[in-house]
Amino acid sequence: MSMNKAASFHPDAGLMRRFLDGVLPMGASIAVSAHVQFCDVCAEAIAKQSEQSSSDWYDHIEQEWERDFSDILESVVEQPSLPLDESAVQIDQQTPVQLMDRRVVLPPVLAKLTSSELAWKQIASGIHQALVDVDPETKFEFICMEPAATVPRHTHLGYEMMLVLQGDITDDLGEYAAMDFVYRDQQDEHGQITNEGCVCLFVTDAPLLFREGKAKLINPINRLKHWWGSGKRG
Amino acid sequence: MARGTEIHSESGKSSVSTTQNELSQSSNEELLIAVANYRDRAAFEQLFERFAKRVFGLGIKLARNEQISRDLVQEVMLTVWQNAAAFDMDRGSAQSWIFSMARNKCIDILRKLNRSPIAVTADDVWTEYQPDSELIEAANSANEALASGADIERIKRLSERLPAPQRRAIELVYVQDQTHEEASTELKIPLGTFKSRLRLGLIKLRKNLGTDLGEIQGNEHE
Repeated sequence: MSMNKAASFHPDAGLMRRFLDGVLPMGASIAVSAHVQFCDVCAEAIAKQSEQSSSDWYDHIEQEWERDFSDILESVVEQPSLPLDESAVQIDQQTPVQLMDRRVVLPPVLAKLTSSELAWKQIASGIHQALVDVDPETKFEFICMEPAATVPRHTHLGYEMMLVLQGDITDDLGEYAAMDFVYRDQQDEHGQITNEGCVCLFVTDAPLLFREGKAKLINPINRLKHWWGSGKRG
Repeated sequence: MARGTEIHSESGKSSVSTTQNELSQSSNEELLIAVANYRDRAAFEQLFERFAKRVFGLGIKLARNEQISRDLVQEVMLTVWQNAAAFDMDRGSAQSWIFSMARNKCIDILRKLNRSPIAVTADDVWTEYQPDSELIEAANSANEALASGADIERIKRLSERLPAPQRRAIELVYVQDQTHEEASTELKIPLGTFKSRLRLGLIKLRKNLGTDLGEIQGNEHE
């Protein structure tokens, strides 16, 4: 399944668990899924955790959910059986996708998401952004950084998930390469820099708070844009 | 099949002779197989009894809405009834299959309600293992070679190196000439599991065929 070098940074067990339970917003779920689709280590962990999640679900039924479902039972058993749908078997499509001036092989879930053209715009020197409207709770953006581009130091009012799709990116806590998945929250302050340039997916549930330079001036605008952007269908 | 149950074939229709007590002792997997292979209504009712309230509970947790949760029960249990054959017991338990289905369907219902504009569905996000295209190709070419009347003795000899369930699947189809449905019924496994075992067996057989050819060619050079 995987085709890149093995990732060094992965979602932790708690995040995997929430992913499997279906309680993360769609944007965050897609970020986790995209990593898992190209990471054999996490794919194996997910398979094991799936059994555990379903056992917990099965074992911890709340009696208050006893309802009369006999009408549903009657209507269901009147329906005919369906032939086995073998089209469900999917084959990896590893066709590269054009993201700005780069050709990137994306995990299937992101390849499908980017099948309609992305609208790129420059948001800072050497940094382009393509926003995708995925759900009302998260801001979901592809970021393309030119070589030596930097993101000013910032903290987060919520969480930030970063999935490196191509190239390199470094922050105060590590150096990351393709398919590395990094989770940061309110406790983390960092700035980011790329040497050779990179394409990353960022998913956040609240705006960044810049800590240095002119970028601090856009904090109020960022906050407004985030809430307007992520809440417009809510 | 369920412990202590007997399968009878009458006028072309299969049915399962069980008491409610025996059914209540059956595992979820045994019940699903009875629904998949015999369209066993009593087995389905037992599954419904076990899972409907749990699916409803999951709907309440994720959607916080009674009506959506009832719709979810309807959708999930209908799929269990109509598509039980798609359950692959080699990939996980019945409860895991039903849980994943309920979570995905619930998320898709909520996506539609939120008027989500993206083409990605829950099944794209919570994907099953996606087989390698090279392996699929290998399976197809092995399948063609076998279907075009390859040497049955050779198939049997090469099959001996396969894990028993995969060997049995290949023998039933290519040596005993059974349909997939007949073979899955004989093995008492869901059709989806049978097809998956057959495919894995064919992939390995194809590799063995290659090795076998290599051995023959190697011997010729000696």
